[in-house]
Amino acid sequence: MQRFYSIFKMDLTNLFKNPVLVGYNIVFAVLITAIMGFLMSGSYANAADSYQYYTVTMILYGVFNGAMTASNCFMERDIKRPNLRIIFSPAGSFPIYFSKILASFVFDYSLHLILLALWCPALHISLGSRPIFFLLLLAPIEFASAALGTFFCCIFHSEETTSTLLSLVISVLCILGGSFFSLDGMGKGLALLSRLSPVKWINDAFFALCCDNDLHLFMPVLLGATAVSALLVLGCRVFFSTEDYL
Amino acid sequence: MKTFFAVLKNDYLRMLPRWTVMGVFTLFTLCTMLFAVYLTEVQHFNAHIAYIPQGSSMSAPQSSPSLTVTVLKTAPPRSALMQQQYDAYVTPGPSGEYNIETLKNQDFEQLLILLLKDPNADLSALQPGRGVGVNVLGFMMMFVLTFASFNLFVFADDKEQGQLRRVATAPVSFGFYLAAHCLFCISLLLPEYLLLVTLKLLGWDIGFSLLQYAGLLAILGLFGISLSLLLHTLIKKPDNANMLGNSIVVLTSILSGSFYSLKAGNPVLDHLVDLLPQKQFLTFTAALQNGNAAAHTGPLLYFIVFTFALLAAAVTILHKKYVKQV
Repeated sequence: MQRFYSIFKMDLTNLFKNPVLVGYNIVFAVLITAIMGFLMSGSYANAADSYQYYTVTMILYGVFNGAMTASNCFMERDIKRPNLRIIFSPAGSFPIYFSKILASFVFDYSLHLILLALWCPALHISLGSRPIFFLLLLAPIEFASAALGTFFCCIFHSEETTSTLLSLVISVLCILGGSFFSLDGMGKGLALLSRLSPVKWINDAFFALCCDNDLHLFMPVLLGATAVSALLVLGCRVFFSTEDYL
Repeated sequence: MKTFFAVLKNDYLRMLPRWTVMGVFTLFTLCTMLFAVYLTEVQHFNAHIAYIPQGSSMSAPQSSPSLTVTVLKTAPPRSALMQQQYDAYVTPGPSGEYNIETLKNQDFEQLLILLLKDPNADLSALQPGRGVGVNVLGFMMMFVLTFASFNLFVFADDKEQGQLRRVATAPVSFGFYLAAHCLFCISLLLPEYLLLVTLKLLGWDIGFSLLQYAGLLAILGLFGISLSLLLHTLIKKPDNANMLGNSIVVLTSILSGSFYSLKAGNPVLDHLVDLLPQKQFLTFTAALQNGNAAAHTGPLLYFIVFTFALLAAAVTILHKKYVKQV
């Protein structure tokens, strides 16, 4: 545990010291939410509704992009060598990927919480009558995306391949899931296509939470995301190979 | 010239170990292009409303190609309205009029009242459709630009591993070295072009002629290369440069309306968006599609000048950093 903790602490400090990652999770998230909300507010009667929509979808977009934080934290060139040393130390290989997943999760989640805490009161955006459920539901999804980033790294053995591929996959799923503009309003075929994207189901759950105070999608999404996280961590265990670091 | 071919050959050899990622990338791009062609064929104004009779004897409004009516006992939750599963909830009023609950703007409400009275009202003047060519280029824009950033790994690796310094000192032309990388990146857009050729041969309507597509794709590709070359030059770590590049590309492409035309209705912001080169590119393609390209060379010129400005900045910085002080 002591060994794990010291590796974890190092990973977390590394993340907070990386200006690009901190900027990506704060500045980029604020910019994209504000700009999308403002641009689309023209088609709404009430501009607040536009911000409400984009706050929910864009914070989730940020959460999914947390996968890139994880891949960056796991396989950046500067980190590869220290990782190699850990493999040959008594700590073994498990702390390498698990501490990266946990550190990215803590890093992304805390930044997103700060963001929401500042952004929502400022623009009077509702997270439901009990915001705690909204914030609680973010956690397993955040963890699952961190695990996804690490899992992709284990499979593709390279950071840049992973982040390019992930950003592509996430963008496509988010566009399909209606993060940037709703596909539901564009006819039956597209609405059905939108259903194929898991992002859509997650968006549904969050909208139900913040607009209707409806909790019936809370448990399925929570359990689903937890199960996916567990599977991905297991996948990392199976596909992690020491040779990637040589 | 010898440098040029040697570097080009070397680039293709270095591409081989990464063929899976590139294949997936290309496949995605091809799918979006097909999707764009399909989407243009089905797109038209369609309002989807929920009609809640609330025990009234008034008959529900008729459905039509522009109006889809779903009759429900109780109003769906507000989140369905927020996510645009329904555009409006309509309930009958006491004296034969309709009460409309919608989040959308005044224009939409007016249009809806028109449609509720006469479901087959002619709205063709109000539909701002986009041509198929603009859709295809708009949809693939984001992918082409991120692909360029990825493909420049050949340059980023050289720079990170110190090869660039050796190239700069060697008696070879630095210009040809960069040109070879550019040609390598552009040539990887060939599958996309081949898809367009296939679609054209199969008799589909793809909007532009093949020559026009070749030109437009080439300048779009060059823009992506210039942007990521500059980022890779300025930022030390390739990972960070890639990530920043992807964020910029995703944000600016969506803002310039590559997938879906956005309009803030705010003059300041609209002007800011007009500054984006991708927006100007789309403006030009739309003009080209409508047959009045000659009157819209300004946007194209802006795009090309922007591209070359980025390229020039990158080359100047590289020249200063590597060639002059080795």
